[in-house]
Amino acid sequence: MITMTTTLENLLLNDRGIAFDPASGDTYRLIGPAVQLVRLLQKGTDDDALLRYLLEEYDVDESTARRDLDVFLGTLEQMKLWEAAP
Amino acid sequence: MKPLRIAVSGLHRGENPQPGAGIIRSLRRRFRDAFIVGLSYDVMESGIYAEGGPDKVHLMPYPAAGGAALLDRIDAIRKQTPFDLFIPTLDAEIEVFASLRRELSRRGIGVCLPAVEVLKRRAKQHLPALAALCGARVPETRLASDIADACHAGNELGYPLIVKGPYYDAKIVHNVGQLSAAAGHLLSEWGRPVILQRLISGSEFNVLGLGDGDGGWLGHCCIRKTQLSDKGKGLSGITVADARLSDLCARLVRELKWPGPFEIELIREESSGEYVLIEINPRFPAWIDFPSMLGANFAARLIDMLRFDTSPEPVPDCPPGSFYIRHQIEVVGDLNRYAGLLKDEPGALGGLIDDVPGAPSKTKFLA
Repeated sequence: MITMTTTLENLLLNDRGIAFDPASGDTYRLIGPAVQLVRLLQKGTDDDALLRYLLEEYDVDESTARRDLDVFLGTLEQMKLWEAAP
Repeated sequence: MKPLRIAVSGLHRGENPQPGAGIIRSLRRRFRDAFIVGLSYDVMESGIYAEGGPDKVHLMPYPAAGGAALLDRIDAIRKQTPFDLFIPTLDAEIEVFASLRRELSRRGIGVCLPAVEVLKRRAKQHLPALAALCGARVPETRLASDIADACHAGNELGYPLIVKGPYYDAKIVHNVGQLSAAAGHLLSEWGRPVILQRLISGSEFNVLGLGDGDGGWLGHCCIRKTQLSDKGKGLSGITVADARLSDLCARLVRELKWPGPFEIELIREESSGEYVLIEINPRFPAWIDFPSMLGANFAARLIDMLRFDTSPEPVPDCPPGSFYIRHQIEVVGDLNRYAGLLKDEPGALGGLIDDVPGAPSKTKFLA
């Protein structure tokens, strides 16, 4: 089980893939499906629904999509935007 | 209503820009007909020659000349070029002018300055006591009045550390040799004490605002510095909105009942995420025109404060995510204007242009 941090919840997103943390001033560049994935995460979407989104929107097999999603969530975790629930 | 006549100091915008030129730009955005009088300490202050700069410039004696000399000069300038409002912008002069508040008021000059004792409470050497009252963290700090003292304090704090003059200038030092050289330079340049602080690692945040003198403020704008020059000056910054940062600054302003412009400098410590208070400057910063371009014109609101008894409207908030980048350009100086300023300077000898610090050398003019 993983949960969204306040930072991710408050990230300001634009359609060109720039995410901005209004509290810290940190800026992130989101590439490809990452913008929509972050938007879904901010709405509280769970891992399974994120995987379904990738499979529906992109021409990708399930194992590749799952691997890419894990890498993406791992990156968010490293950036302290996403964390394992206690 | 008679046109505004406003004096502004600190016109240089070089590597280490002063706030005056940005203040003038902000004033002109709102008060297009205002007559701006530049009070300059050096004929080579770049803002003298900038487009849209002051309408008239007069040279001032350095603040070290003392209050009487500054007042005499202001009296002489006003006979020639009247002004009713004054925005001082330099730390060293603000200390002197704060002690002259009554004299300035008696002359009908509107100026927003704290009382001397309030000004002292936010001085670098007194900041730890103020921070303790406001629940703010400051870096571990030592004061030193000579080089030996400084080296002793350096051994206690450990390296690297930052060594600062009482008004300006700061240097990061990594060993006792560097500390000894830096402290010697600062003591000779700015006098005692030098301030040594444990180095805090993290991002720098600055907050500018306008205190109402009763413990509240008319507004504030928070930025994170995103690019720093070699001297640690912010070459770019981005607006942020963090309630923790605003609350901390509000506590400081409330405790001081700060009147008028301020800039609070903090570092968000990388390891803890906590804000650490570094300095409180008693003036607007050089980036003052940035929020004006976002619709939050603090310089214009200061003029409202000075002109009207009623409390002016609050300054609008700056939305997070707007950024500035400092953009340097060349300005053209004119020798006639340069010579005119020197002629105007009290005690200046016409023709001896290279007697003025920073002036182009005589040989270049003769070549």
